[in-house]
Amino acid sequence: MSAWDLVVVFAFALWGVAAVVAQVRPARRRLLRWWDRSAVGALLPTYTFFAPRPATNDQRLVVRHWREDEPTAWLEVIVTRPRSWLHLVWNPDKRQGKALSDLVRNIATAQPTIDELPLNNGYLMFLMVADKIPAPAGATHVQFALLESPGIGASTRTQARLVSRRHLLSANEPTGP
Amino acid sequence: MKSSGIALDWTQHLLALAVILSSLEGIVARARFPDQGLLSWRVSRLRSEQFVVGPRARVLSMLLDGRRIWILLGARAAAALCLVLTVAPLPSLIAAAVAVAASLVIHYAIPQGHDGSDQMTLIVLVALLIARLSPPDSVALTACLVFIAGQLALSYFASGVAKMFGSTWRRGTAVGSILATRTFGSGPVVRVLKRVPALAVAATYATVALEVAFPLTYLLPQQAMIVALASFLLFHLVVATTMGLNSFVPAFAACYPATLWVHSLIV
Repeated sequence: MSAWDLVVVFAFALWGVAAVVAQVRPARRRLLRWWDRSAVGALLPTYTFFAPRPATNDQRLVVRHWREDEPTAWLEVIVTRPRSWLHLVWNPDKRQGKALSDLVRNIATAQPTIDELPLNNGYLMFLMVADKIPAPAGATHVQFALLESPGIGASTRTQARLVSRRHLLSANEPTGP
Repeated sequence: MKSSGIALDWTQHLLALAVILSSLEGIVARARFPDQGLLSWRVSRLRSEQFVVGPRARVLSMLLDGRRIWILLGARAAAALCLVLTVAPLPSLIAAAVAVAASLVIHYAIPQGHDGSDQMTLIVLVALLIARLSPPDSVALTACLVFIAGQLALSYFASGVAKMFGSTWRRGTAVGSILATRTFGSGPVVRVLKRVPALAVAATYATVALEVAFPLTYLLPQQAMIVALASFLLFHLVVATTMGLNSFVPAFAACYPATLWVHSLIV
């Protein structure tokens, strides 16, 4: 066995053990937090795939504009499209859809206070998307909300998880001297 | 699978398809939104000071700012195309290195929007890169293939066990609930499941059983192992059709040649 063989076998053995440890959440939090923050954190995933609690609601982003104190109707930002046979081979929409659910989860996990919320990265991301929606003439501010709607046939109703402040549209922001 | 070299070549081809798909979908997903929507690096970088100032921020900005992300994703797709077209050691090594580097940058800089198929693709890419650095028929090459097969077994088994801790999985309602969502389901499928509720219950328990039982496939004779892997491939195809998780098909299928080869060592 060459030196290269030894190095590779040792590296994969270590990676394999770490991969097993990464599946156990308490052990992962205790032993691998430093790894998760590193540039190669993605090399140790936790394989859950809809477990233990699968997503049974849809996350939705809605936006409205304000003309002085008059709001427009809420409009949904369409992130994913209805299922089609084409999705068997081609489904780029799922990537923005996954980002939406990841960012909603990140906000929920961070549990920011009211004052911290506008600085949360997920909040900023939704605000940026809202700000890019074409605004009606005379609109000065934009507001977004995150909704959680139940699946088809569920008895619960759509609920607002977060309603943002009103933010000045970037097109209306004062420019520097 | 007769030799480790053939297993590695097949891994490379299938993995390359996963990388091409992921790269092209990444490009199109970003093209739909100004400033790339919820996958924006411009906003994503604000989550930590290290992405705003300093050498790391400068390097990442050089690769990801504005339209440069298209170049990075395009380079990854081109490298993967090279992995489809040739298994010659040096071009494969260079192409795998480019694909690994681009994937690591994207995962690190923009952590949202990746699913299990992207993670599996990245892991197998790294193993492929190390395999292409290793001499043919070496212990190191064997270790690469064993690792890929192990990752596949771990992914199925761990997700199966994790499901057993979920009440909806134990009650048999999980698959029906997931397929009722707009994100992962579809109207026609929901209508079928409403007519035949037992189908959703059976699919829930079958998913858990299939995943937990995966390591046992190593006890099967060769022909049965091929049938077992074909069943898992069919499972991914059904998931892709009903839930839109298409990239799992090539990403997980890329681990099957290594699994078959490792299995042939055992049986």
